[in-house]
Amino acid sequence: MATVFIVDDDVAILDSLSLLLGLKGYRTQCFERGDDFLTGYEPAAPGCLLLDVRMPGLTGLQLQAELERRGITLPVIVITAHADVSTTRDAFKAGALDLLEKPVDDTLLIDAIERALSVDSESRKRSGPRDSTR
Amino acid sequence: MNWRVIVVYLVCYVFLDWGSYVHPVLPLGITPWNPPPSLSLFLLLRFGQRYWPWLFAASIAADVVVRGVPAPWLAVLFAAALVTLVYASSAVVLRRVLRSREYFRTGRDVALFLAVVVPATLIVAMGYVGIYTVSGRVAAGDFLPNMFRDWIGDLNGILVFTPALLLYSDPRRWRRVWPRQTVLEVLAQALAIGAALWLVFGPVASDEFKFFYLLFLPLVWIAARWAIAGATLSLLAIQLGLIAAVQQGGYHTATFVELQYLMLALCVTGLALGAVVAQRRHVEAELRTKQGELNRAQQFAAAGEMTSAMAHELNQPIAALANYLSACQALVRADSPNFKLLETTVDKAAAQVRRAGDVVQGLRDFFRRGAIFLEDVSAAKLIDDSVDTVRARAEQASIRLTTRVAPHVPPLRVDSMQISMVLHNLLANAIDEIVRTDAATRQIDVEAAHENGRVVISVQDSGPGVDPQATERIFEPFFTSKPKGMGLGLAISRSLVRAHKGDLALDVEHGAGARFVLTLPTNARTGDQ
Repeated sequence: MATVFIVDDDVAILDSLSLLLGLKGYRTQCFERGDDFLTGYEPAAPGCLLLDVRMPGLTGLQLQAELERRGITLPVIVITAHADVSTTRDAFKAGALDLLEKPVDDTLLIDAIERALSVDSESRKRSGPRDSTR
Repeated sequence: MNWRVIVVYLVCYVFLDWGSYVHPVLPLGITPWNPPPSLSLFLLLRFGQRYWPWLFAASIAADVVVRGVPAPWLAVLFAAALVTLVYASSAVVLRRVLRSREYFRTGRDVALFLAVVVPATLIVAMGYVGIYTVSGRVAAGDFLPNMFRDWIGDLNGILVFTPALLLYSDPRRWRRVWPRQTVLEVLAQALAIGAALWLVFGPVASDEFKFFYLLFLPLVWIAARWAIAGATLSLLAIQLGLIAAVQQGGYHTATFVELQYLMLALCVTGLALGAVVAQRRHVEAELRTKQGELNRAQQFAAAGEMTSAMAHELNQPIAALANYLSACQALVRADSPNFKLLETTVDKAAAQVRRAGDVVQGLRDFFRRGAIFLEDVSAAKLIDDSVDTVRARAEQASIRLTTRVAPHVPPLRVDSMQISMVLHNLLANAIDEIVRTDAATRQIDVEAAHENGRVVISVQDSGPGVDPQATERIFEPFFTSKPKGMGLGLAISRSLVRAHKGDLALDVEHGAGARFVLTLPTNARTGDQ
């Protein structure tokens, strides 16, 4: 089963998102720091990533770059408090699939997650059985 | 022309001439101590050049009253005309070169003053003594010593009296309250002058010239301490002391004249030092003001950054709150609601609301700097300081900024930094509104008045005014009409003012434009709190 990975430095955001998504029937896994996600994530696991932009330590953008460098194709949904032009542009240039503004509208969030998960499963099918094996 | 000024001038002139008629040459007005011209110069500089004919009248009157027409009438009239012409033109030149209505503020002022009065007194002395030499009253061989005697008398009179009169005829100088410590210090300085005079002219000294330099010590002390205001007073005291000593000691006229030359050195030193010290003080004060403005500007910048940081801090709990509420919805809509989980989720949502509240509290605390620092401050200063912070912007937007403080507005008892931030905010809003709507008339009026024991400051702009639908809401946090506004300015301003037991309101009764009214406690009210 696919997992929604959430990276946000704010514990309340992590808790509330994981509760909400849990109630909507998703399996979630939370990380307070970008580094924790990089060490804890198993590339074979399917799913998508909800990523906060503004974080101490590794920022959302830096984490996106690191995923790219490691060849991890997990779809990324960026969540930001300031959806200004430069943040948005940077996020999409770094390969974000979608960008949502905090506070997040839950129907928009579910749509984005659904789309991300289908993109992920498509790419896993195409790249062959090697990656999709558990 | 003011008749009282004329009468006082004429009486003082004749009296001074009579009082200083010591060691004269023959019965002529050639004395080594001659303060009346200083009075003439003061009259023209302080009250205006149009008084010049009275210089002529005073000169004649003095010759008649004090000396009983000492020379042929033609010579007396000629001498009076000369004195009038030279001092009237000196006054014209001085008023032009010194420009400022406050004399002796810089070393340059003193230098220019000397550059005018030294030649002027020299011309008068040459002409005056020349007339009597030509008319045979003074021997041709005595022309030079008499000319120099007359010159030093006039010059010293002007250097001692005119600056002192100009400075101390300004009523602002008398309004200052002198603390006890200052009184003691001034007393010590007066004693020092007395001691120096006693050492120079008293029984101890065998030769007053050898010890004359002792008089420089109190003068330098006083000039360094009180700038030009102290220097002029001590020069006056020393000159009068010197005259008294000369009269008492029965000095030879030649000795008196030589002492007057030493006095000239003392005058130039005192005035120059006093002016330089005054200039330095002025520069220091200006520097402090500029530093204060800079600090304030930084504070505003910090407040801006703080607000942006706060916006982020506020967004986090609100985002979490939105998620929890969505979760609650999902929980309630479930077929078999999990009330236990619903309860904990509602608790978590409530915690996020408190967290948001704490952020707002923190923002308020930031502006309050922990506590309100109350001080007495005049409404005029508060308004001027705040207007200064936006003046450049207003000018750039061609907005006319006027301030008017009603007479007898008592001092405010407020945290001046906070209230000037509030005023700054109101002014900045007014400018933004005029610029945003591109108003035809571009005017902001700030007024202060005293009403019912409180000070009322209003900020009125010529913009289109507040939308009647919005008047109830403009003080609510996050309500804004600006595309990039946070909507916190008026909300924070009102809470700051209310913390002062004052109030900030929009004057809805008022016609055109927006008019914000700030009501603040005066210092008289603090006792009954």
